Amino acid sequence: MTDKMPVNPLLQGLASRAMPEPCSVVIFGATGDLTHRKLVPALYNLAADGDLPAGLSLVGFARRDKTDEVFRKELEEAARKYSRQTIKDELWKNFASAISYHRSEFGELEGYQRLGVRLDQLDKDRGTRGNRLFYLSAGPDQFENILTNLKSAGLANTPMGGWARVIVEKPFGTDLTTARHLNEVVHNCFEEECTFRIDHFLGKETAQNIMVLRFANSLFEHLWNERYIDHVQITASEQLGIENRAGYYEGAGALRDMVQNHLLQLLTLIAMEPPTDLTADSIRDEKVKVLRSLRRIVGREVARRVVRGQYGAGSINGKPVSGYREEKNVQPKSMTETYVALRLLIDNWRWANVPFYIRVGKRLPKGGTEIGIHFKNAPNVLFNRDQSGVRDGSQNVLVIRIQPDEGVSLRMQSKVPGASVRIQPVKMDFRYGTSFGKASPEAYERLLLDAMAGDATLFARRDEVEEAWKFIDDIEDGWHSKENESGLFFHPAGSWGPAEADQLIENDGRAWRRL
Amino acid sequence: MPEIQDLVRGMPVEVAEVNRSLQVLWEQEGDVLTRASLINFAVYSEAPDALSANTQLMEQVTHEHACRVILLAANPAASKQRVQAWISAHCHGTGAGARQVCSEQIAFLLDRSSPDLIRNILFSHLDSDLPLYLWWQGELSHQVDQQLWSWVDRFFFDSHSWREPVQQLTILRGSVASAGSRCVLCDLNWRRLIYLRLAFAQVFDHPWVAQQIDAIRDLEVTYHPEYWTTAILFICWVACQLGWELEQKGDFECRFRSDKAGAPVFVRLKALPGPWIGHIKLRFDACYLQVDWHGDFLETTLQGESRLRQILPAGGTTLAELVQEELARGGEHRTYLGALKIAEELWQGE
Ligand SMILES: NC(=O)c1ccc[n+]([C@@H]2O[C@H](COP(=O)([O-])OP(=O)(O)OC[C@H]3O[C@@H](n4cnc5c(N)ncnc54)[C@H](OP(=O)(O)O)[C@@H]3O)[C@@H](O)[C@H]2O)c1
Repeated sequence: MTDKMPVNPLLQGLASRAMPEPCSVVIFGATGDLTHRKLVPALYNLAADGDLPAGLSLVGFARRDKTDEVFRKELEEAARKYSRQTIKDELWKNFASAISYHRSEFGELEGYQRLGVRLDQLDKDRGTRGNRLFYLSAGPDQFENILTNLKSAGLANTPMGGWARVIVEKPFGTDLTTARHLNEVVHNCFEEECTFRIDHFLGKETAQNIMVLRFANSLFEHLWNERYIDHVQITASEQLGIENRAGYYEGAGALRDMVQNHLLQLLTLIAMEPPTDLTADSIRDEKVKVLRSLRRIVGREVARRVVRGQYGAGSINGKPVSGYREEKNVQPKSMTETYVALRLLIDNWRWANVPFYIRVGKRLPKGGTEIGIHFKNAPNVLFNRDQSGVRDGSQNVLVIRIQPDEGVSLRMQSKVPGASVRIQPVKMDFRYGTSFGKASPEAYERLLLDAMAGDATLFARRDEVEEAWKFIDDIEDGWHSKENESGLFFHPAGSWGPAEADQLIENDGRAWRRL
Repeated sequence: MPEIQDLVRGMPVEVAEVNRSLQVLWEQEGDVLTRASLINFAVYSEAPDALSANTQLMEQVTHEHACRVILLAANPAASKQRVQAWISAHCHGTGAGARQVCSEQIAFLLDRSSPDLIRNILFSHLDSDLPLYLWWQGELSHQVDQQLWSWVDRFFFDSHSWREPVQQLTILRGSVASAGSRCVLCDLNWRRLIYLRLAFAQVFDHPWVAQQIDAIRDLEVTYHPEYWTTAILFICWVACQLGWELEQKGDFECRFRSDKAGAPVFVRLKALPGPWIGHIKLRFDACYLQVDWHGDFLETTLQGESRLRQILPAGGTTLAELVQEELARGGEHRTYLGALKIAEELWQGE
């Protein structure tokens, strides 16, 4: 191994973020849906914006027999369909010339050895300096296979003082045991600093804005605690059903599919303490502390704090849709939850006794992911004298909209013009689309660029993933214990979840936000 | 009451009534239009057709950057002081439904303008608490008042448009310093080079090319005859980043010393109609690198032990696109200031 390559003096100060070093990106599962819909369009958009190093090469790894030409053609079609920007022929031609296809079975060591030879050649031809980014875009049952073979073929270390990193797609395990095992497997091949566990929610502009909102403004942070905040609501609702993902979804359910990763990640961003600096580990240290402070929900508590639901037949956008159990490849008596509502507590000074309500579901009336920070009511004197007992109409609510229509709004009380003193809530609204005309980059663009640049801030660390699973496993155990067995509640598609979920929050004298 | 459609052409208003008229307007438009603003963007020009030209320009700029546009068309030579004002709006669809997002524009025609008048007009029409960007089109005199300088957050100019760039920069620096202003200097001439610099720099990512960095022998830049200052800025950026020192200067030929290389680097400039900078050729001991500008793309080719060819985006070339780029990506411009130091020596001539 030789010394690290010197920095390129001409690239210094060229852009507001450092340009990643040239590298080879190897996608395992390159003929799959994710590569076509997200990864390749993201890479093309980065290239079109001039954000990719010119030497970048892309190698697709999958088992079907196909030529480079055919592979490029397929990717071009996908990029034309899914890319945020229209494809410019000349640019695509250049981008495509850096793409090649590598046919191999995931379990075939010889295929990885051939891959090694190919990558060495790319280092020479395209100046990729021994830098490799391996993207595991395959089913989770294949991760171990791929990682072990990468190691056996010597690809987890790299020549020429370059780097080798791995991006692991979700789901990262199905419970604590499998996640730990997977972490071990990854760790046997790649150091933690070279491991990037993707959670595309963190690549979204508004998720990144949570920290800016909290720590770049002096207005909110003083109020960001149990003295002023009554409760927090995190909602992720989808109109879609499970599409063609029954195979995966039947074994996962809403809790594992959405809460363990995306929603707990959002919760940590909302609840974390200010990090000492903006390095990946300082931020993730604080996030993991939040996960450790989550009050575990075990045994009988599960039924009291968590509501699990499943959609039945109903209608969406005025059209009839079938119930979950009638979907293709779903068991007719499936007990998989498509909806879940939780009441969480964080046992630390900042959040003592402030409930965090989370709800997530499919086939709900409206799609959207939002976080609502509900502030305590002003004292019941003066203007608020007659407001006691009103549900939450008078609370100030700061809403962070993650998707769609990303933005932030603040609800506050205002006097209705006129001779009498009538008070009504009004909304101050900031929309990304309105204020910043340019379309935000897709989450995968940002995340791919960060991984190439070695910045793990927006990726989940090993301990984060394991802590989140610990919390989720307790609930899953509770659901599958004898005493809770029957606790699945049904709701018609197109409604806001089962009545029991409304009860969960109404028991505390609160109500779900109306999205 | 006027309708927003009239406003695209501009509605004349009394200067004292500008803010109130805008308010009335937005109240009338209700939910169909959303007013958005992140910055105050003032554009000063003394050109005779400044108002219509800049209205068109800002129509494009506001597409991606919501701002309050304040156009100042000045005629310092007029015999009598007089100020006329128009209000209008640049509205764009957001893609999501019928809602339109609008940036408001206030246009002023200032006869017999003075620093006092400009300051006063500008100060009384700013959208409060938002940053102030001032784009000064054309030559700088001492038209910018000290207090105004201290309010400007980013100062836009185009050194290409200056007949005497060195003298202009002296005025600029002097004014900024005497006002104690911390505004960022945004030279659109520098922005012209961004994609070219990216394409050129990326070739040096290749380890083999990186090793040749001290074996550079000469640099040839072919530029459009009207863009000599741009070409000089490019050369000075290379020199500054690679630590070259200017040894001998000339308008079309100069020589740099590179301590690490131990041999001089010769630089030649050639004027030819075409893009701002149509061709760059960098010769090393054992190979050469070329960058060619073809329409929307830049092609880089390396000929030597290994052969490399890359196509990269060339970026937009209209003034509006340069401003949009600057607004989207412009930072503190420290690299620019480094290159500018050398450029001033060359711009000054022998
Ligand atoms: N699709 C999404 O929107 C999405 C969203 C979030 C997360 N993810 C995650 O991303 C990963 C990929 O998802 P996907 O939807 O792209 O999967 P997919 O469409 O099923 O694609 C699987 C890929 O793996 C390859 N493959 C499977 N077995 C192989 C073997 N034994 N040897 C070599 N290649 C093999 C397939 O190659 P052949 O075509 O040659 O068989 C195909 O390229 C999964 O972990 C998924 O959970 C996907």
